[in-house]
Amino acid sequence: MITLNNVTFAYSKKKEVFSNLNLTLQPGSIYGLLGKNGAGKTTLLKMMCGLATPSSGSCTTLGEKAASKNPSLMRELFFLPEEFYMPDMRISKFVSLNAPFYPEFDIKQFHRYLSEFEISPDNSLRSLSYGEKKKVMIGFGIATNTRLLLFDEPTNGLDIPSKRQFRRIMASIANENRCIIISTHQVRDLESLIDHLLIVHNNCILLDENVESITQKLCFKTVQTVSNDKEIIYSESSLKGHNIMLNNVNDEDSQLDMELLFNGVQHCPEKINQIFNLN
Amino acid sequence: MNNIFSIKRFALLVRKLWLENYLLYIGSFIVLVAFDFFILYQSNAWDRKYTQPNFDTTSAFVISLGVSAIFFLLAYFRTINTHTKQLAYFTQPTSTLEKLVSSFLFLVPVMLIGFGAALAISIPVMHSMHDSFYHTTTTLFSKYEVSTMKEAILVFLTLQSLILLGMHTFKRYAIVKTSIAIIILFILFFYALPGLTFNWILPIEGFRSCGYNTIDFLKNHEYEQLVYKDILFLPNYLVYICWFALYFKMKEKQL
Repeated sequence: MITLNNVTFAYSKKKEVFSNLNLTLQPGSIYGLLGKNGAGKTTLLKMMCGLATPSSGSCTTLGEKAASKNPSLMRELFFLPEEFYMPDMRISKFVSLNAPFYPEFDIKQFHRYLSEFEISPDNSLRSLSYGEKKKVMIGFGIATNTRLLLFDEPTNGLDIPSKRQFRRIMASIANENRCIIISTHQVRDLESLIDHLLIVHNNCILLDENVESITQKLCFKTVQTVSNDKEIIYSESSLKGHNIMLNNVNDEDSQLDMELLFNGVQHCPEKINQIFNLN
Repeated sequence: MNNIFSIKRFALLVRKLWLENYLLYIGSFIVLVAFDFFILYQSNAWDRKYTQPNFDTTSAFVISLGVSAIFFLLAYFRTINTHTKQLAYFTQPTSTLEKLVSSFLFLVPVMLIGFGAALAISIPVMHSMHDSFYHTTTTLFSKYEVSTMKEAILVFLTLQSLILLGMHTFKRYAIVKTSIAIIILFILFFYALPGLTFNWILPIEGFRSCGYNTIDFLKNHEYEQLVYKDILFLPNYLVYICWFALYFKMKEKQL
């Protein structure tokens, strides 16, 4: 669905964001894109929808060169940036102006999402808070029924019940033909939703694995004391004791702790490379 | 699927741009009418004893054109000048040509219609004369005036395209950088290049080819005449290059 082939990208000569990046994303997954501030998560999303062009290499989205920004491509993807623009008008008017560009847009679906988020379609966009506007955009984006959804920090600004609603809606729309990419720092919000992890670090993708494969190879536990077990890859103290990430040599079942994994990947990238056989 | 130009998508885009910005366009139009009142009052031979006012429509046209250009450019910049708006604009499922043509539509014909309407409203109201609308219309589109206005429109179109090009090229302080670039271009085209040609290239070429004598040439031509002679014809060529370059700049826009 998306292929990045030897992609190099830089905003300036001094600041190279990606160097020889290779990545393939398949439909049927909800990808979680993680990385520190400035790692290049948003840039990666922009490249996928043609808003940033690689200086070398190629980025192909849905079989087309992303940088061409052809209407045939753009109508099959929806990009929700972290900061977005909404004109001063009623929600219903906003939809009537923007929906015709998306052939699969479903107005009933949109109204259903709005009612789940407890927002009336007759509201003026100006009267809405940032979080409410975001809910409108999320609802609109999902109702476009595009094959590719790119969300940059979608849960920022959402209240606690809305985050739950968001997870529920996202889980309900995931299917084999669709690819959803969510860039986030709020891993706790989306831990149960994401089924494939991408971690961006130091100009490259440090981890590109599905959750099942990660839990097969790594085990996540909370213990009272940390022993000198050589299988422990990373540990950090918490109120309950110590959270540890270790090699899953005994094939134990454990629940993925994304925050711990992310911190572990940042601290010991070599060990992670070794475990997942990355170059 | 047609990725170059679709009438349906274009119509949807124009409708969207209009409905999102119509208040600004209408506001600009009101300011324009007010400005025309001012310009006409200042520039025309205003004497209440005369039954037929002597309109200086060319001055009014050129000055109002400049002001309306600024208003409509501001309206356009309002659509695309911030990062979030640019993201929304460039992820819109429309082609670059559709975006460019819709910009052109709002910046040029709408502006000209707006200007004509503003002038047509201003003059009759100001002079309270029954025939002034007819008079203005016939004067405005007389052969001589049309020729002058054509040149003014060309200058206007060139400026529009240069400003748009600047807005899409520079990321930060676009208005300032664009203004500086236009001033540099102006100096380069209208002072440096003619000056250089006149003082260096022409004499050298003339000397080499023995085609003419520089002293005789100077005797027969006014320096100023040579420098400024083609000032209004330059946009004839520049305007196509600018709009063409603008298309590719928009196509390759990075955010």
